[in-house]
Amino acid sequence: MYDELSRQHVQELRRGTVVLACLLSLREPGYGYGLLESLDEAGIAVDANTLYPLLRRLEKQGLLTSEWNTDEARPRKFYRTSSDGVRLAETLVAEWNELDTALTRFTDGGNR
Amino acid sequence: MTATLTDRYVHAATRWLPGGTRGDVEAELRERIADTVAARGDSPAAEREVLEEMGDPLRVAVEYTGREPRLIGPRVFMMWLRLLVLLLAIVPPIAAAGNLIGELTDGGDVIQALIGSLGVAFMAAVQVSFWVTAVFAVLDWTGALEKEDADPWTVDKLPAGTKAGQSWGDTIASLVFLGVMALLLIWQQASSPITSDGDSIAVLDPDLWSWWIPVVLVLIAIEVGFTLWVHYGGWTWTAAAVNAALAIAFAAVTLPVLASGDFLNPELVEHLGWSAATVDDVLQWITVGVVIVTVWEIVDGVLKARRSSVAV
Repeated sequence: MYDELSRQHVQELRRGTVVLACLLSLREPGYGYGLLESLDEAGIAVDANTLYPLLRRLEKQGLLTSEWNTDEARPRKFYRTSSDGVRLAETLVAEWNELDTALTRFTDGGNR
Repeated sequence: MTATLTDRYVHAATRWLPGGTRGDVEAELRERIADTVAARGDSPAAEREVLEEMGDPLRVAVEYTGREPRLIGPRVFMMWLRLLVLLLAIVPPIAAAGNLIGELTDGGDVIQALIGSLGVAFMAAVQVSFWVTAVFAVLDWTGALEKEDADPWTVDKLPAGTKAGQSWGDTIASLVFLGVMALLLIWQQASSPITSDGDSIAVLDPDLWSWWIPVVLVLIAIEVGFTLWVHYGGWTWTAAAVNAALAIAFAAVTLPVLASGDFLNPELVEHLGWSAATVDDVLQWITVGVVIVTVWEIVDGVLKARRSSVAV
């Protein structure tokens, strides 16, 4: 679908949105593979090699909290967005909307 | 029972991690691998495929601990580069000069001493590069420079630029000239093109190795440092004065030798069949050449200093 150059730029553009998607999605607790699937279903394709380390990083930054769930056969680490994370998500969504408005102005070429 | 691929993978990824995070990363990796393999049908082939997709376990470990797989990051790279270049320009020449002077005052063989000094310069360069890089790598990995931009850049750090500094063209020309001079001095002794019965005859009197040639080689080494200094600092009046001093120093050691007549190798004179008068003529021309070059050097330095002081 994309050539190599476009792919790079698309990836760059999407990079920050993965963080936002995680913060929004994990307001309901979730574990790595489950999150990967639900992001995929929502149309946000993330590489597992990116997502797992990202979750750890966000936890380290205090934006997510985690807890090991050992009720099932396999123990799983459940992440949940912290209150700091929720606040950051709100800021990011506002930023996203501003960018969208600004870019729309360019793409409409002053037709409005 | 032998360890599964997953066990081996997790072990490979976590064995270098500090105890505190090892258990956690290990559990996370197991969860990730188990979930992904289960989603693909829970077969040995799926396990293999999943692990290969995850890639090099060391890399995975580095990513999980939030470190980037690099030695020196962009934050300290510029600082590292500046310091390294500065030290490489200063330390090896000083080490080599020190070694050379030490060897010569101990009465060592000159060519041996020169080769030894080259080795010393190389070792000094290796040591400087290693230690600077090691210290910066540790600073970067420990995050010691994380908080403030340790070396904020200001316009004062701009290189002197075209007005004050010398262009690379001039600098490289000077350095090549100095290098050729030094090589010629050594080469005329070691393997001069003039041969007699297969043995090459040195052009200059071999007795000159006792002091004149070493002194001139040291002057050439100082000139190299001076050229680099001018390249970055520009032709200031101080530079012109140092330049004049170096030129006078060269003339001061060279003219007495020429006047004494013990400059050319007597063997060479004999081989070429020159008369005493011819030798005198040749030495006279060389003397005139040295005087002209010395005066020109001094005038050239003053002119360049004046030009750049006017330009600023």
